[in-house]
Parts: sequence; structure tokens; C-alpha cells
Amino acid sequence: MGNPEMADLSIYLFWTGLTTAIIAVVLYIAYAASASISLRRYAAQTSAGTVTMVSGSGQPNAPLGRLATTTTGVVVLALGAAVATRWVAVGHAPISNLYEFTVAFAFGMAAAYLGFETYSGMRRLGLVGLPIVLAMLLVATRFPTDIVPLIPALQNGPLLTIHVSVMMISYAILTVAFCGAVIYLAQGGEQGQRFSWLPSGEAAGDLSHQAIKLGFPLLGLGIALGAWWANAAWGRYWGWDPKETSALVTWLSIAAYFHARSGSGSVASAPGIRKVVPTRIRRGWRPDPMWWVVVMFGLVMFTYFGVNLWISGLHSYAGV
Amino acid sequence: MTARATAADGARPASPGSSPFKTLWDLLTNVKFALLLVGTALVASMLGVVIPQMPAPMRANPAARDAWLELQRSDFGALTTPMYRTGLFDVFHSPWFSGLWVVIIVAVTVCTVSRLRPTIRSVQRPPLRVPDRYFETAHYRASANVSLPPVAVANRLRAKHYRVLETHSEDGATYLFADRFPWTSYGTFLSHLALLMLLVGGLMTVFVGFDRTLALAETTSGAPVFDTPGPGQIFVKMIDAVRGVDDNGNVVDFRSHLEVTRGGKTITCTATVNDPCSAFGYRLHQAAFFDDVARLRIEGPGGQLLYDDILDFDGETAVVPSFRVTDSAGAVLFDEDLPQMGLDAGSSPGRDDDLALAQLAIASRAGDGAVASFVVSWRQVAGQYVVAIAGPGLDPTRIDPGGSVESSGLRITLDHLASIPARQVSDLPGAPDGVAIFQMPSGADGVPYLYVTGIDSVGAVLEPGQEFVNTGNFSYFFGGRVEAAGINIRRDPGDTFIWLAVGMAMVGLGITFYVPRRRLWAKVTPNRVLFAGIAERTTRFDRELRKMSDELEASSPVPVPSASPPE
Repeated sequence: MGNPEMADLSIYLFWTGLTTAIIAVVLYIAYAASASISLRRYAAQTSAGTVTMVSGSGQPNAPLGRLATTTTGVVVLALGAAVATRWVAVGHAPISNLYEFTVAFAFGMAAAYLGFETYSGMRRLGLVGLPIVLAMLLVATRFPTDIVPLIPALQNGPLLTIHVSVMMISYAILTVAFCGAVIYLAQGGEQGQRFSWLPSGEAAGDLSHQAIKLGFPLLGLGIALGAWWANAAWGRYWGWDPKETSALVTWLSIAAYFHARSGSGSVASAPGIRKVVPTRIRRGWRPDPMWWVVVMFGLVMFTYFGVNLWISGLHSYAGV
Repeated sequence: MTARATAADGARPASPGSSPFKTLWDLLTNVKFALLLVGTALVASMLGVVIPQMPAPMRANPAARDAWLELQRSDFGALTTPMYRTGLFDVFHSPWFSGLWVVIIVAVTVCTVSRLRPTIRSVQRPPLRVPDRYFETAHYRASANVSLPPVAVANRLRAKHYRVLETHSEDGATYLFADRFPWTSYGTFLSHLALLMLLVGGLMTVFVGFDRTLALAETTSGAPVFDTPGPGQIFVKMIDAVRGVDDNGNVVDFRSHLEVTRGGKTITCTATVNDPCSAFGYRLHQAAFFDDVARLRIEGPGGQLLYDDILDFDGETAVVPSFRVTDSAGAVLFDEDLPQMGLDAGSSPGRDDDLALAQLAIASRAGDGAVASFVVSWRQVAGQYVVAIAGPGLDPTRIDPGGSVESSGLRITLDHLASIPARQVSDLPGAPDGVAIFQMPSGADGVPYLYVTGIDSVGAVLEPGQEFVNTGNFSYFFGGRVEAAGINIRRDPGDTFIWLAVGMAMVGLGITFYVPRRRLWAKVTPNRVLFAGIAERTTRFDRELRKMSDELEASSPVPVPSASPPE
């Protein structure tokens, strides 16, 4: 079954993407490190003569950054081509098993990252983003690459393509949101700047929020499309299947993020609750709403790997 | 009114605002409480994902439920019973989970209702004036040191799609109010309303919709859909249930060709897994496929028809050995499943020492009528099947799957253990003891046949189309294996609401996120313009205001030195 030549070509492109991703990770690390080791020479005329001082400039090496971005572009191209050739090889959107979906997910992540890097100019975000892409590709190497026919439940070409693609794109964009959240939290929040070689907390948080604003409706749309498909295939929109429940929980975590942002203070200070929650707890526990983005990413990974690999359900065909 | 405010009021009489209803209303409209609810729903749903959930068919069957719980005991030990009692093995149908969603729905309803009037007021009658100190304290603010007439500032704002009103003039300053996309305030309202619409759709699906699954076999007459007969009754007949298999044995298709009849009208349609068929306002989904169904006809001694219907094995199976026998030349003499032909009940009253028995008879290829007969027995020991064989020149020998023995020039290999449809039928017409056991193994050619014990002194073999007459003159006719499918028949008046809700949620979120409202107050003095505004935190409104100030300063013919004293 399938087109073996194209399948082989897809595998070669996948490995090209993986190798390039390793190089990109190294380049992003070098780019971020260059900010802390680049030096600026100062000269001052004093009574004792001209004094020359050297200090860190805080500016990363721009050519190195451009090279890292270009390498990421190559990763995107290689993985995009791997997905396209796999599509030709299997005769349908290559998102019907964990190998195919993981490669497509890594492609989506890399492309989403590159898009947001271009949009924000925040190149050092790659320090978090590219290692995640690389990790996904390494995980993909553990899954079988065999081409098997689509089982009857998946034989809905348009919905397979649209539903799974929308879920994948939303997860990829939410991964970028997670990258921004990690830097935001590492910097100490909105006003924080603990590490001069990283983007500011404000900029990272802003980018994370922009990504969530895009990923949240897409995830909702993906879940709705899944419900549509479930209604056609199984005769019901919702059945609390582990995969659909887990996707809903991910969506709820983002809803929690928005609610946490829009309300100041802790949950424990809500009317009624503040009567029963001790003041010490009420005042002590006020996590930054951005922690919800970290929770969200954990749920994305759980929905993706945990549910497919360890929990059986109606989506178990998406396993290995 | 909050609890703190009430306490501070001291001796004042309780106002209507301090009633329990008001407290509850405040709680339900509080965004922090909403966060708590969302977080609780998140944790509760995750419990249902990570903890094994009892399959639906077992919930209503006490014996199956107990058996399933026993299986869980190996993982959860002493916690199994408390977890079962608290609904952790059936989270999504537990009262506390339903209660949580009821609270969420009530909270969303209250939020939606409570924000409607303020939202309308905010759009139609926004506050046009702000105190002067707001221009110095607002989160989003900017100023331009320019000398521009108010109309020029207003025109600049209108060019940026603001609706501008000159509110008043005071102490030589003119005050403007500008509003952009005020209608987008309805976005959040719309997305919350969508959740309620989803609820309405769901309730209609549950309480007004129709949902029934019928098991329909080929060769049977149409099955009624409704319990109550009447002119609106619908009959569904299975014409052909198909399981498509490719050359490599992969299942690639399930489909059912159906005939749906109501009154005198018949609709023929095909349902596949992804494409249900529609008839008379109902949708017929392909829900399952069965191939363990036999067509059986039984006639009494006088030829009277006693039974002519399907025999559904209903998923019941028996494990039997599958042998491959070759002669000394390597020719294959037997290669198929061996059904159970008898039972040695053992000495104990229980079934632990029961032994399944069968006879493996191999005819010689020479055509001389010689038959080598072997006795095969098997039983389950500690979860493993143990198979033994004995025959001419062969002492009882244990044989494992893949293993072989040789006897009388034959090589007998236990190829594998097969699971075949098998079912005990009580009150079978013509069976001396009323009980018969039906097995449906496949022959060497892959065609299923029936092996029936209990209808005569010997086991009866019925090939498709073949009849067996027992000593009581009852005849049993096997019409062959038939295929069947589970057809789910549904009518869902809630789906319109559900898709409407999805559309509303998408539009609401899109408006909220991408067309955010901006409200701006401007104070225009002879040498300075001050802006203060309100917008969603990530709109980058501060940058927009800074840019606008820069543009004003650039366009001003006489920039005023920035050292001028503040207003």
C-alpha cells in the first residue's frame, strides 16, 4: 500500500529536519549566550590619562541570530516537505497515527515559532521553542513509520484533514504561547528582567498572550469539528472519551487563564469564599495567571501523548 | 455589597443588598469564583480521564459491574470500594460531576444576565466625562505638547475610526470623548451566551431527541424502531451488512445497506461509519458489525415450522485447538479448528476439573477407508490452556501451540488456539434434554459450519444449506452464517442549537480578541493635548496613544517646549 519511494523520501526529509533542528538549537543557544559575552569597549579621558573599560554590551550577535532563524526556516521547509511527501505516499493527510501526527506537530510548532519570531522580532524565544521542536522529532523516531490503510472510522477525508489539522495548528500555536510564558515567568513577571540576555517579561508575556488569543479559538474550533465528526461517525457529539475530555480540559485551562487575567487578587477572595478561607491563605497564594499557560502546555502534552499511549478510548487508533 | 462593607455598616439596618440572594448573586458573578469553577471542572474532568471508567454496558449489570470492580482491585486495592462509592469510576455520570456543571451553567447564566444591562449601557450611554486627575493616573495615557484646536484633534481621531463627541469646555480646556468599535463589547456577552445555547442544545438532545440502537441481521424481517405500534412506526431491514477487508487482511470498510419503511413508503439507503443515512427525519448510523450470527430453521416431526430466525451468538465464544495434520509426504490432510465434542465433568461438582474433549479423525489419502482417530482434550490451568492428544501408537501427550507429535505416519501440529462463536441454548425444540450447544467453527475452506451437541446422541455437523434430522424426527437446517450490524437510529432536534452555539462562540471570541473596543478621553488645552483611555490590556493601546501624540506633535505648526509646566 502507498508509494514506497515517496515514503522513503519523506523519511529522509524527516531526518534532514531533525538534524537541522539540532543545529538550530545550538545556534539559538550560541545566539543567546553571545548577548552575555559580547563586549563593548569604553574610553574615558581622566586626569590620569585615557582609561579604557570593557563591559558586556547585552546585545547578542546579530549574524548568529540570522543564521539561527535561517536554520529554523530550513527545519520548517524540510519538515513541510516530509509531511507533503508522506501525504503523497499514504494518499491522505498524514495525520492518522502517532508518527505522522508527531512529525506534522513538530512542523506546525517550527512554523508557528518562526511566524511569531518574525512577527515579534523576539529571536531569543528560540531558546525554548526549538528544543521543544527537537524533542518532538526525537520522540517521533520512536514510533513505527509503517503505512497502513485507514481504518473505517478515519475514512472521512475532509474532516480528518480539517479537524486534526486545526487541532495540530492550535497545539503548535499554544506551544509558542508556552515558550513566551516560560520566559515571562523566568524574568519574574510583567515588570521583571532577571536575565538581561532574555527578552523582557513584558514582551514575552505580550507575545504569549497574542499566541493564546490565536490558539484558544482554534482549539475550540478543533474540538467543535471533532464533535461534528463524532456526531457523524458515532451518532453523538460528546461522549466523555478520554481524548475529547482531555482536549476540553486543555481549553478550560486557557479559559481559566483569561478569567485569572481579568480578575485581580486570588480566587480565595471571592465573595462568600473569603468568609471561609483563612486570611493567611487568601493573601499568600496569588499565582501569576501565566502559570495557567504552563498548566495548559502540560495538558497539551498529556492529551497528545498520555491519552494516545496510556489510556484507551475511542481515539486509541491514533496510537502507535 | 460585600461582607466587609456590611460589617463596617455596623448598626445600620440590613439593606436589600445584604440578603443571601444578593450574596449568592455576587458570588456567581464574581470572576474569581468563575475561575474556581473552571479549575474544579478541569480537575474533575482529568480524574475521569486518568482513572479507569466503568464501560457503559456494565453500569446497568450488577454482575458485570462487580466483575469489573474486582479487576480494578488489583490496581487500587482497599481504595476501590470508596472510589466506587464516590463515583470516581464513573465520574461523568456521577451526581457531583453533574452538580458541578449545574453550578457552572447557573453561574454562566447569571453572568450573562447580569452583564447584559451594563454592556448595553456601556455601549449606548458610555461615561462621557472623567475627572481631570484621570489624565494623570490612567493606565493608558499620553500627552502631546501642541497647540491644536479641538476640532483638529477630533478630526485626527475620526480618521482613526473613532466616534468623537465634544463633551464640554472648562477653564479654557475642551474635553472630547472618543469611542471605537463600541459594539464589540457584546463579544464577551455573545461567547457566554453561546455556552447557554450549547446547554439548550444538549438538553434538547437528551430530553426531546430519540436514540435507539438495533442489532439487525441479514435475512431477517424489518425490526420496529419504536416500542409503541402505530401509524408512525418505522421498520428497518438489513439488506446487506458488509465488512470490507483488503488483500492484507486489514479491515477497510463497514457498511450496511438498509431498507427503511414507514406506512407504505420505503427508503433504501446505505450507512457507513462516517456517513449515516437519513430516512423519515431520522439518521441511521453504522454503530457495530457482527459476523457471529447463524441462520437456523427448525421443523417438528410433522414438518411444522418451529423456528426460522437467526441464532445470535452474541459475542460468546469458546477456545478450541486448531490442528494441522500432514502425512509423511508432506501433504496437508487436515487444517482447521476442532470444535468441542464432549465434556468430561471430572469428579468435583465444580467446573475446575472439567475437560473439553474432541475427536480428530484423519482419513488416509490412499482411499482405502482407513481412518486414524485421535482423542484431544484441553482444559484451562492457571489461566493457560493445556492440550493433550492420544491415539493409535501415541500415549497421551501434552502439546503446546506450535508443537507437533507424530503417530501412524502423520505429523500433527497444534497450530494455535482459536476462539470460535459458541453458545448454549436452553429449551431448544427437539433437544432431548432441552439444552444444546452450538459452535460455529470455520472449515478448511474458511466457510463456517455449525457443530451442535445436545440434539442427538452424536454431535451434528451442519454445513451451510445442510439439514440434520435427529432421532425424534426434528430437522435442523443451517442457512449459513449471516452478517449483522448495530444500527443507531437518532433524531436530534438540538443540533441546530449546538452549531449555532459554536458559531456564536467563535464570533464572540473573534470579536473579543481581534476587534477590541477602545474608549478615549481627550483634554485639549491651548498648548497641550492629554489622552487617557481604556482598552484590553494587550491591545498595545499605550503604543497607539504614544504614536498618536507623536503624530500630533509632528503636525503641530508651533511645538511648545516640553519644559512647559503640566496642566
